Amino acid sequence: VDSRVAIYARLARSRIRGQTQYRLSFALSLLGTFFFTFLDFVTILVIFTHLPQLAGWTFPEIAFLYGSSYVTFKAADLAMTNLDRLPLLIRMGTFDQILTRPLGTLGQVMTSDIGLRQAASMAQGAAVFVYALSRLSIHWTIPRVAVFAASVVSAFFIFCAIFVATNAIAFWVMDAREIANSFTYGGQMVTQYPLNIFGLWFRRLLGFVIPLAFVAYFPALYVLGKHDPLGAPYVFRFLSPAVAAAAVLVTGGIWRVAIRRYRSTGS
Amino acid sequence: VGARLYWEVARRGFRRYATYRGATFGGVFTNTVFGFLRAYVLVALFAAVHRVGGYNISDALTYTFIVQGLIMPLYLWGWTEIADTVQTGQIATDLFRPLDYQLYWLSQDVGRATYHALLRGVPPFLLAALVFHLRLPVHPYTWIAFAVSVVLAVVVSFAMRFAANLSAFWFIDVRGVNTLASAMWTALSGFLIPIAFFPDAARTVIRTLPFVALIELPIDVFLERAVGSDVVRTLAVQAAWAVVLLAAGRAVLRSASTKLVVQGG
Repeated sequence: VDSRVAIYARLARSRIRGQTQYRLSFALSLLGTFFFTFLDFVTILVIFTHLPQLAGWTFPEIAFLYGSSYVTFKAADLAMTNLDRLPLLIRMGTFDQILTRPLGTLGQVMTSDIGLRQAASMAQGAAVFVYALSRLSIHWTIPRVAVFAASVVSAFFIFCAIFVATNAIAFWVMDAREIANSFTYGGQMVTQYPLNIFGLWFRRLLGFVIPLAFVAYFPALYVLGKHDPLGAPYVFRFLSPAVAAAAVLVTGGIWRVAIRRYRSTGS
Repeated sequence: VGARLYWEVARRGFRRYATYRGATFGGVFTNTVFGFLRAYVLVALFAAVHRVGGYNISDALTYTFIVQGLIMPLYLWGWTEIADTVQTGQIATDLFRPLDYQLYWLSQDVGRATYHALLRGVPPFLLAALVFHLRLPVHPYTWIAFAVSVVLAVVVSFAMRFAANLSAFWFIDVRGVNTLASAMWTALSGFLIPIAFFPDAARTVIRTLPFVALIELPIDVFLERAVGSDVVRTLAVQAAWAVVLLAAGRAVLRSASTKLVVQGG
């Protein structure tokens, strides 16, 4: 197992070296990504020039959701970024090479390129989060710290599971990459706002079938000591780790089924 | 002879994208989902405030779904086709061809945009109209003015992307310049939220820049925020930016060509 980790680490390092070859371009790229992803927050800023609360949430409270959602999402994106390339690997027949190597298929796809740009978007989310903390006087009791810490880890795994599950669609429908974006990047957008602003069916599908409600919304209700406008059971605030574990299990199953279904495009 | 050639190039541009039906379906799905997400944010805003920057809720939702429909025709993110030909060296042969290089790519892009406007632009709007109350133009001539306005927006968008792509002559990896440029026109075009929602000072500055020609101005026409002679003025502003930016692109191309060194022969 040790040597396998070493191989992945070496693969990852070589991809990072490749990207930083052109220093100026790389710096511009980081800067551009930082601003580009910050624009989501600019929208929120503009909205709050017109009202004091959005659906019962103050500006710092939404900043709290936004920051924690962005950081965990981008961490997952960083880990999973190469799944985006899966359709390409399949179409080019490169996936065949991966199957023949004595390493896990998922691990190989994941280290085929390392998206350092995600680090820039994470920094942006982290900055917003720090701002939120400075404006909210959260009374950090031990249970709150525990729920929050557990929710960050859970959010990472829920997002990872969504990346894997939706990208596995590529094994069935080759051009389906854009649909995956609705649930990955769309999922991130759902979690940066309070769940109670979305329409009933959107809430059911994106909040519970795809368990995005457990990424930031329910844990934040607990940490911020807020009343739930949706009136969901109180225990939901603590369920994120269990939901994340279930999501990972289900997704592992989907991936294995997808691999078994795989037929090369030939050439 | 000339016009016919560019017409053919445009038709190819259209047909090239028409072959990917799965991608079209997936794209419509995604643009619609994002439209709904953004719409719910606005619904929450308008639950507290009845009018923002002269928009009521219907105007704002209509705005959002036109934006979702314009994403593909305007192709604001990640288009690096010309930059790729710089990287591979293919551009050397392309520049030798007996046609106008910029006009060639513009024709191609207008063909592509036509496909995307019809098959990617219209469906999200229709799907949203099933759920939300969207607003349609009152005057019949508004439809024509809107069509013209969208064409001009595509030309402005092309002109910006053309110049950004040519930066590949100076940067080996264009992703940085492209991302910065995309962030700029996403922020300042009205893509995020109507420019009318921004604070006074920001609004005034943003409206002096060319980026509003991409999104805010066409939607002003559709929502009939600009009527009568204002429509003509709006289209004239867009046309002026199109001319200025295309000329700028040509200047960049000229100075890039002097850097071009063709090896071998």
